[in-house]
Amino acid sequence: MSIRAFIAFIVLLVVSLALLGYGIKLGLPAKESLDISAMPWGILVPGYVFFASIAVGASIIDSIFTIYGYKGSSNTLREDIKYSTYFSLISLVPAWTLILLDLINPEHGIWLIRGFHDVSRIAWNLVLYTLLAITLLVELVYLIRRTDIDTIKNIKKAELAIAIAVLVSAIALDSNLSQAFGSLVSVPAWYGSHLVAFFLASAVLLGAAGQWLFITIVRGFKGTLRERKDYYSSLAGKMYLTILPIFWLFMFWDIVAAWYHKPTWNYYKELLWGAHAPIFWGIEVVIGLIVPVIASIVALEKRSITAAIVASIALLIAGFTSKYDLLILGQLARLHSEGFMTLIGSGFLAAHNVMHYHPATSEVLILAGAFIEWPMLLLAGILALPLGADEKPRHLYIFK
Amino acid sequence: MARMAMVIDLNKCVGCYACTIACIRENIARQKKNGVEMPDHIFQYARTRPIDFPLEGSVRVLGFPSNTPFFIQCQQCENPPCVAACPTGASFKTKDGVVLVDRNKCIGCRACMIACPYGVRTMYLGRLSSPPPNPYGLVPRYPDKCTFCYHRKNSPEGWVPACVEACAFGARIFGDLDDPNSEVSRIIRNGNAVRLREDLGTKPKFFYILPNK
Ligand code: SF4
Ligand code: SF4
Ligand code: SF4
Repeated sequence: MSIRAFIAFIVLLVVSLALLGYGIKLGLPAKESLDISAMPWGILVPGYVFFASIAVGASIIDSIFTIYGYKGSSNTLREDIKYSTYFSLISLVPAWTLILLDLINPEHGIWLIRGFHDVSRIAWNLVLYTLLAITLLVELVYLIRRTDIDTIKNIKKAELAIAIAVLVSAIALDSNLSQAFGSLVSVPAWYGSHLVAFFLASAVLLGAAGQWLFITIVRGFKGTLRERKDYYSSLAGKMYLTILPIFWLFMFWDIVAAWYHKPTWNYYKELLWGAHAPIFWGIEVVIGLIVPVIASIVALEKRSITAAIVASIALLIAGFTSKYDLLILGQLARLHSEGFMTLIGSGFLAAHNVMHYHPATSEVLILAGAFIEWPMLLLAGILALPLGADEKPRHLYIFK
Repeated sequence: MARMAMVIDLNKCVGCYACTIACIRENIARQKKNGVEMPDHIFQYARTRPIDFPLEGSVRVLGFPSNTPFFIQCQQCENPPCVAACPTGASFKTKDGVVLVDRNKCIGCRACMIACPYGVRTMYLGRLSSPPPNPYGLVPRYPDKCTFCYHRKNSPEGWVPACVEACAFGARIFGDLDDPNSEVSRIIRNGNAVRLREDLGTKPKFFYILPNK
């Protein structure tokens, strides 16, 4: 596996760098950028939120083992914990890639620190990302160096403290991230503290799906999936059937609440039966709810790994779409909202047809590059780090 | 301390666009050796723009006849959401209460553009080769909006924005709200002027005198 995995890693690395590099080189050509005053945030922002949510959700899922001491059948979670922690940590990287490349003037980035503006949610995002990355890194190093994580009794106080720090940072990050949008009164569909609950539920769903898929693929390659097939299929089924109703409860709550607030209702009208409805019903509802529910039941009843894989992939696709809808359509809907008048009034919208957002070529390339960067980095970890349960530190001094 | 403010008297405004053109000339168009250089779709980037009717929302709520010319620009909020959203402090409020962008600090995250409930911030991503017309003029790749012609602040002729100067009908009035003798203070004291979306708590320092008041 090693040589083939290494070749796969090199291929992914080259493709990812090529896509990102070409996307950066293309930039936003003026003709494609006409929309920017009406639609300041393009598809890279939902992409960034998608990966950040996965990292946060996966960290929260990890706490089932690290804090609550649930080991899974035959210690399975113990065997997987290094993989899952690495997964959480590395999912932050494509999030950073996307948000960094979304900045128009990243060369002034130092001002995020020098000019730290404590009332800006975006400024706090940087702090909380750093905190989550550091706590996850410390946790990973700790887990790699430690080889006797057998029972909850053996979990030392330091380990528990690190795990709690990871959980608190993850929840703080996601809450703050949601409020980077939720504190902006100018986009009615985002505005309000309800976004925290919505973001957290969605993060746990995405984190669970991404992490489960990653660990299952690793086990598949290592040949240890077959013996744990029953456990993994039922784990996926139970997780998804537990989290999905919570996520959809928040979605339903948002829709019902929006009914009483005309500007927010503009967004939901567009989503439920406007031009965007096929995407909502086709992807968010069918692929994001119906398919995973059926597949999860099959996974649970028949112990089917295939069904669990279908559910996980469906959740990831729908999760990305849900972020896209919320953030892109939310901006489009604000153009209809009361008080947001300039661009509408100047005839600009009609002239440039900005009510439909089309990602620029460079945005598509950068997004694709980040999506390939993700498995590339996951593979790099498998190749270079002792993430398996019985693997001992080999190379890096800090792990010895 | 001062709190600079502007009033547009909709009884006097005839919708001649002189303010828009003056602003473009003052803040956006650049001198080139053999002519003038401007962004494509220049009116999209004008810092004071006319709004077409019929219009949804708060302007209609103001309740004046639909053929009234109506211009909008940065409302110079006392409580500006664009400044609150900016992570680097690049969007800031001066001691005169004018909201500006320090381009050295701006990372181009566009949070200010999203945060502005009046939708007045633009960003031109095309190329312009000649230097901006003044230190606060439009520069590609940075958020842009009305600066109350901040570069004219220390002008020997006094601080008179280009759009105010250009208005032949005296429809635009500019002054200091903290100076009780200024014309804007007098207008506000008389209760003749309204602000847009007061409900948002942004406290604009841009006022409109409604027709027939
Ligand atoms: S009108 Fe918009 S750009 Fe101007 S100060 Fe208010 S929030 Fe900022
Ligand atoms: S685009 Fe520039 S001015 Fe606007 S919020 Fe970002 S850093 Fe601040
Ligand atoms: S005050 Fe200056 S910058 Fe603002 S609209 Fe008038 S001319 Fe333009």
